[in-house]
Amino acid sequence: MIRLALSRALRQLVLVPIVALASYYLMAALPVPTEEESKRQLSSELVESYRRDLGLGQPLGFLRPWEKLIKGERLGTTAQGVTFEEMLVKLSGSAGIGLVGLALALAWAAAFALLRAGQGRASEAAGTGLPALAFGTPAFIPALLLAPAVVERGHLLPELAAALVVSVWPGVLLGTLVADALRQELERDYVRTAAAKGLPRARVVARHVLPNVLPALLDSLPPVATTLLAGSFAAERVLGLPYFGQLYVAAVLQKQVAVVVVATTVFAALLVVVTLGVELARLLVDPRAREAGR
Amino acid sequence: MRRAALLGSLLAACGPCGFQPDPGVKVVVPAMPSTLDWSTSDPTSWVNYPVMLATMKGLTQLSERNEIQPGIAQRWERERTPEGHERYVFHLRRDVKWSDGVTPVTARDFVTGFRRAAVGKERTETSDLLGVEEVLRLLERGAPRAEVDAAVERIGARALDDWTLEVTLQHPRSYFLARLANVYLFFPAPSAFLAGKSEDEVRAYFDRPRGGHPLSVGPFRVESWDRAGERVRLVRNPGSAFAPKLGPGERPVEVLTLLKSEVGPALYDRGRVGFVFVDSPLALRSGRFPDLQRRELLSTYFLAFNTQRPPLDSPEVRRAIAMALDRDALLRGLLPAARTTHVLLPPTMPLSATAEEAKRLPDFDLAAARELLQKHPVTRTLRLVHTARESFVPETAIAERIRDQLAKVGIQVEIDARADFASEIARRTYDVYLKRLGADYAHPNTFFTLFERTGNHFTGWDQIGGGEPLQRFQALRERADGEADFETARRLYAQAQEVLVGEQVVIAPLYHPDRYFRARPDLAGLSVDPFNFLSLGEVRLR
Repeated sequence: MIRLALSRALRQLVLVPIVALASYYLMAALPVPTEEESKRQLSSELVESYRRDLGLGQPLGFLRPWEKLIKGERLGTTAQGVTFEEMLVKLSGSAGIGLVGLALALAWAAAFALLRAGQGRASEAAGTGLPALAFGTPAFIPALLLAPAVVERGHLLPELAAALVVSVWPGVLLGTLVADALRQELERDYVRTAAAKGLPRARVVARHVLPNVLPALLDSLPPVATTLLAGSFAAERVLGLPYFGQLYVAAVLQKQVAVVVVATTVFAALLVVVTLGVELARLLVDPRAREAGR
Repeated sequence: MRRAALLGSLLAACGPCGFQPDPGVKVVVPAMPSTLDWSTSDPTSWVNYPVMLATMKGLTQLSERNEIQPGIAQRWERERTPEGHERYVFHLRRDVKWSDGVTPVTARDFVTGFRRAAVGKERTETSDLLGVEEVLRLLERGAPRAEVDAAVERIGARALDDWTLEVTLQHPRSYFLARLANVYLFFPAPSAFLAGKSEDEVRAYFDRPRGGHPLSVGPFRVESWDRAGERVRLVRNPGSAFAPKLGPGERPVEVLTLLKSEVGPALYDRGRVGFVFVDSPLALRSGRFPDLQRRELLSTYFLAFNTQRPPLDSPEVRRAIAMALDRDALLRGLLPAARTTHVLLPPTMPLSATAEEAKRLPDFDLAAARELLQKHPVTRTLRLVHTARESFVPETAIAERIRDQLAKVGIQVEIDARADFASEIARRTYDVYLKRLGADYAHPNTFFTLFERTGNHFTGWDQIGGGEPLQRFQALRERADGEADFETARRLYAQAQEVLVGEQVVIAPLYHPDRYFRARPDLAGLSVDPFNFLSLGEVRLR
């Protein structure tokens, strides 16, 4: 099983350099303004940082941004660029919001799945209406509603509000998937057989149904992580949080291309870590995954 | 070790207590600075003004009535040299120190600042200094660095001793003293701390604030600049020679944070920020802000004509339109107050026209407008272009009212609100456009440069009469710029205005815009300056 886990880990990790190279070459392919154009479009310092930080025309130039970061040098222009330490501090904030958001999303998912599993018109209406509301509402709208109450308050209130805002959509999505999987499983013959043999319903659900529902939940975690990260861009901006999402947006707006390359790769790496965690969890909880891997 | 600690905080998700609000006074600004280096700055310099004006001072400063007063220079002499240049000798105050509390501000600091500005991103703004034209030419043709440096050494800024600065202008310029007050390219630079630093280190000195640097002269210095967090934290410069005077019961502001927020007004209502601009016409009309304040700007909003497109190629048609516009009715009810006008230079601008001179310019006169239009009818629909972005000028409402007013004299107008306004008027396919012109300094010159041959007016008036009226306008402006006598200069500027607005009717001025804001009652001196920049230099707590 360890071998299987390692092979899956390698398969996932290979994605990181691929994304790093893809984002590097996409940025490097951007037309560098000529001297004449740069007078109108980009400052000479920006053009200079573009060439210097991307190592354009140098052998192994794609390693240049990473080399600079590791050496503690600044990426981008003096006014708008970032150092490795600044980036890590910003990333820690966003990662924290993402983790709390994930926990909240799981809580929303459980609550929503239970709601949909319930009988009656109210449950049915909520089961239909909530996803429509959640999926039709961009993250910045609840962020704007919460912002006046939390911005400039400190004591983790803006961070918690951001986590809350970004968790709703993924939570309802997860809940919908889990509820559908749960419903399908509850209609299967083995559930009726277990009930007929006198097993209490709670035990049937906990012992037999949930392990079968878990793979569906795990499958949906990587897209949920993507959504959490994307939602954090809007939430951090509206809630005035100076973290990685804001840094990324600012880097794009200020044309700090080397920062964009690194930030894109870091985001990809985070998603790979999540996917890897999901793969490992699946190997642990799902015997069929272990079988398929042999 | 430090990185391990940072990684630890990453694993711990967030810091021990997350992002904390800044202490002290907080001010919501519409944009963050693009640089803190005042000598080189940036073409989008308006975003940098609030910080630079709070932290720096020039040789002169402006009074409440926009008159020139001594700043770091306590006095000066002005003379014309035999070569036709203008030579100023500034005598500096000896009690002005940089924010480290020990380093005096000397003439050498001004020379360093002027030289840096001459090769900076806004170098053309310093072209009045003797020798800067040569620097610009060398840079334009990509001359070697050594050659440029040698030319920079020769520009008209020289330290005669620590406290005496000699500045030589290529030509006499009566607006120069006004520019020194708030065009930050002419502020001093801490030469002792920049000496020996590479270009990159100098940039880092200004744009990476740490350890009390960059030094300042004004009442505040920059302590930190969080780009991702979009906030700049200023702290009090206790030894500043320009600290605001405290009234009874007042105390200085120790920390002042400029921040951007999507919910600024809501934060102000909840008492979490101390200042916010109020630009929305709806909010201004609601009348629900008892603490709303108004600041008169040195600014004019006008209607410009495309003088090359028939029927607007006729000055009589342009005059008829200028006279058909009832400025009071255009603005009525749109803003809490409006200073309507038919002149370009605001009355609060030094050297502006007298009431008698202003009378000669076309003003609202419906009967006269109708009479002119009977002789020179407008037979096609005119296209009015205005900018589509948000502004503190209620452009859409004004454009609609202009359309309605002109309909009453038989002129049909279609309105075209453009996000690409600047490009659109440059295409010259418009008939009329609306624009706000704001002063960069307290002098008429700042208003006239837009309408010169090289200005971005796109009205085509440089082609009227083979260019003769424009040449006359430029000659009047040039003579006024070089005139040392106040009254003579004022009269010449009034004549130049008359050519532009009265004789050729290239534009029809509509009103002098004001800026509205809310500031907490416990904050005194927090305002907007006449140039539409947040003014922090006099702020204090009650």
